[in-house]
Amino acid sequence: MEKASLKPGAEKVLVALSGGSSSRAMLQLLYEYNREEPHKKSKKQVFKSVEVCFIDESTIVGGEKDTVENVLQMAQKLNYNIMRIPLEDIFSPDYTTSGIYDNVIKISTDGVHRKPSQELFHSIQQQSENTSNRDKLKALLDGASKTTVKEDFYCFLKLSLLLQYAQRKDCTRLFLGDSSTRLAIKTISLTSKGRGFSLPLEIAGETQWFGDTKIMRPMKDMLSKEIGLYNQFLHLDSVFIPSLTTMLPPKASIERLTEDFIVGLERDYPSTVSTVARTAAKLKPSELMQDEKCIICLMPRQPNTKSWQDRFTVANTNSAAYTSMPTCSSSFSDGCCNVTSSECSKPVKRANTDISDLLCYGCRVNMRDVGDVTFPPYVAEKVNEQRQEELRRQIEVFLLSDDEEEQGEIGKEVHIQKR
Amino acid sequence: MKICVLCNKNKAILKRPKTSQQICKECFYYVFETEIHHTIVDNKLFKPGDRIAIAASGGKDSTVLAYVIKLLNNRYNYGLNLFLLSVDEGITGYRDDSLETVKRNQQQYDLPLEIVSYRQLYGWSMDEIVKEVGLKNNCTFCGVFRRQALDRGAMLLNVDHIITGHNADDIAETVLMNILRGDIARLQRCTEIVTTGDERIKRSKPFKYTYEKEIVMYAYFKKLDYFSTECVYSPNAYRGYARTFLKDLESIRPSTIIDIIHSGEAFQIKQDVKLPTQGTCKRCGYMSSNELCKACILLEGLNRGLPKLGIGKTNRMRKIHGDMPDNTSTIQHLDTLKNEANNNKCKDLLKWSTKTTPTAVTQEMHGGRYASRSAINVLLQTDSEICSMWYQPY
Ligand SMILES: [Zn+2]
Ligand SMILES: [Zn+2]
Ligand SMILES: [Zn+2]
Repeated sequence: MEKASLKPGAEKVLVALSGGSSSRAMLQLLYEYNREEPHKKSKKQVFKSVEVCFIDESTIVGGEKDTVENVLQMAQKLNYNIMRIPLEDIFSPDYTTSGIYDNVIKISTDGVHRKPSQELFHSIQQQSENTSNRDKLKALLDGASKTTVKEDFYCFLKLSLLLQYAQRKDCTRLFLGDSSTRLAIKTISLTSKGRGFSLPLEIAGETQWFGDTKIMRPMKDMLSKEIGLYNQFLHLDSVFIPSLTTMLPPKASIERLTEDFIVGLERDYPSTVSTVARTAAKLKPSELMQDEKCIICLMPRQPNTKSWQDRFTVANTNSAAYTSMPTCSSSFSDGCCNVTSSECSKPVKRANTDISDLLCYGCRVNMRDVGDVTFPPYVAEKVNEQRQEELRRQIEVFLLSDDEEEQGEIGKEVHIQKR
Repeated sequence: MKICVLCNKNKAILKRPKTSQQICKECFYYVFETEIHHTIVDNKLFKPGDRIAIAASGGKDSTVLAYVIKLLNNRYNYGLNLFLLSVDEGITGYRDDSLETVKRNQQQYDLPLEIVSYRQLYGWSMDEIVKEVGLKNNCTFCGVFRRQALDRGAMLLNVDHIITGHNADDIAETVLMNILRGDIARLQRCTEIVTTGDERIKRSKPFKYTYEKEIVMYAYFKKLDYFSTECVYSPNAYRGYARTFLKDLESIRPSTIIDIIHSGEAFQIKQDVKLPTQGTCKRCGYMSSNELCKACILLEGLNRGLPKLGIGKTNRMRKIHGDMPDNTSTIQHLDTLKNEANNNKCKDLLKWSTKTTPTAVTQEMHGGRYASRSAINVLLQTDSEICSMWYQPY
């Protein structure tokens, strides 16, 4: 484990522990590294303190009964605080930037699925108190008809939870246990899902994309095989965490297929993983990368991808198709009607509710396989933030700034986040 | 009856591979052709008066390419002069048959055809090369030789631009291959739609966003005449893995091919990664990042009976066997070819100029840049030798 640019003893770290072998090894390595060594003169630890966080997915994917207990014990044995967060808690207002935002966002498509860059309509509404968070999470996942999309949602929700928790605990670093094997798989699967723009951030050993919380991947140079040996050698137990595609055939999802492909290739050509990892490490974040985050996956949005999609996947065979207004669909109620679409002929004004431009390319591709779903508060909060920012920009020139310093501060912050 | 989701009028008869939409035949033609038109316009591939060679193999991609480009050229008035350019690798049971298809295409589409052969350029046919090197590295030879053969053919045709039938599947596969092989320089280049080859001859891929399955579908419905046998010398196994993987991905999510290209276009390489610089081969004048181009080294290996010379072990083999003996045959130098092409151009011009007005001749000669009144008079009276004296391109 290499750690550059560390101020000894100043930073708090949050470790994401899934209980799998890689994060288990990472926790152990961090413990060894951060231990006060008795023979050293300066008894200073590298990190001020270490927090551990376990995202509990068992309500959705099931698993052995004592899994949770085993994971908790891994950290407790090393005298670390561990927090268990059930995945469904993403619907709790605790996991928003403000910590109190309690609205959810309903997103629906125009139902026609014609243009590749289809419009996405939204309405932000009060959370219903009658439904449990668990049911809300289930409904969100059930709204996606493809496993590839469900897996993506899983991943985004987990990351969002971890980031919010890190912020709340004032942790300046978030440790993720991605091994080089994992990262090679991610490189290929992200490429396949059209996420090449954000790829350099998603596999980086260190990234400041999330401002105050640096994401680190200390295990990025270790093969999963090597990690297995390390754990065996130290008698470290890990638990098996089932995923959405456990027991499913390779073609169940893009992620699952890619895993199968890379692991298979590595068997025949043992340098596959290291070659892919090396290639990916030579990619850099684009100059076009702005501070604008996708409201769902929180990754950067590439400009002008919508027109790109429409030019090379044509879906209107006459020019009139562009100008025709969408008509009301039954699933979307915004005051027009709650009746079935056939009964409704009144065109609905939706121009200002389209939020497709707030999504990244990859998430827009995902939404083609999603019906009407309700996303958790963090998404709704992001939409509000971005709309606010948009308004501010529109009237910016008319604002009299009597506080130049503050402006400067904001500018600086944006600059840092842009890296 | 299923109604086409695009026009809401006709009966849907096919499921579009790119989007899974159920559409009618007319709408399929429309979206297929329009996407290619967008690719051409958005990337400013052509300008009026361009002389374009269509790399024609007789296979589905290049046959559909010739058909569609000719169609779009008429429909949107691109103002292009089109040619067919074929490479005869000398593969019995494959290229000889497919060339027959190209010759039929020439008649059907009424386009001039030029064929350059490996035998004539390098002194070796692919069949002879395989006999010498076996089936392991034969595709390396073929790929390197084809690239140069096309550029040389283009010079003979005096065209500025070669278009190839590389489709979206090919490009997506290459993106994956380059990640897997760690070829960072190619990873950056492979999604570029236009690359510049030798002597400023551009190469481009109008089918960059066109799915292979849709090309097959288009050829099928339009009843185009193409040759569908795979090359008898099969490609390497590693590429096979990537191809199968891509097909599986596509079956999970049809848009994945276009999504991979989208990713590839977004990739940016860190500055400190060294990319090779371009120079020219000192032996044949072709562009090369080393002293000798790949084709020259491979050919030298063949001629000296050292086929391994060009395959990864060049320096070691040189140490053992020494430099190339003087009497070894090499590829004709590009300068010689250029002179030849220039002379041909002048001869054509002469032949033509006797039948037309001096003004038309003036216009023909690089927009009148070289042609003055007196030059025209010279041209009309004199022979091609004098003509080539003042007719220096650029
Ligand atoms: Zn996104
Ligand atoms: Zn139709
Ligand atoms: Zn050469």
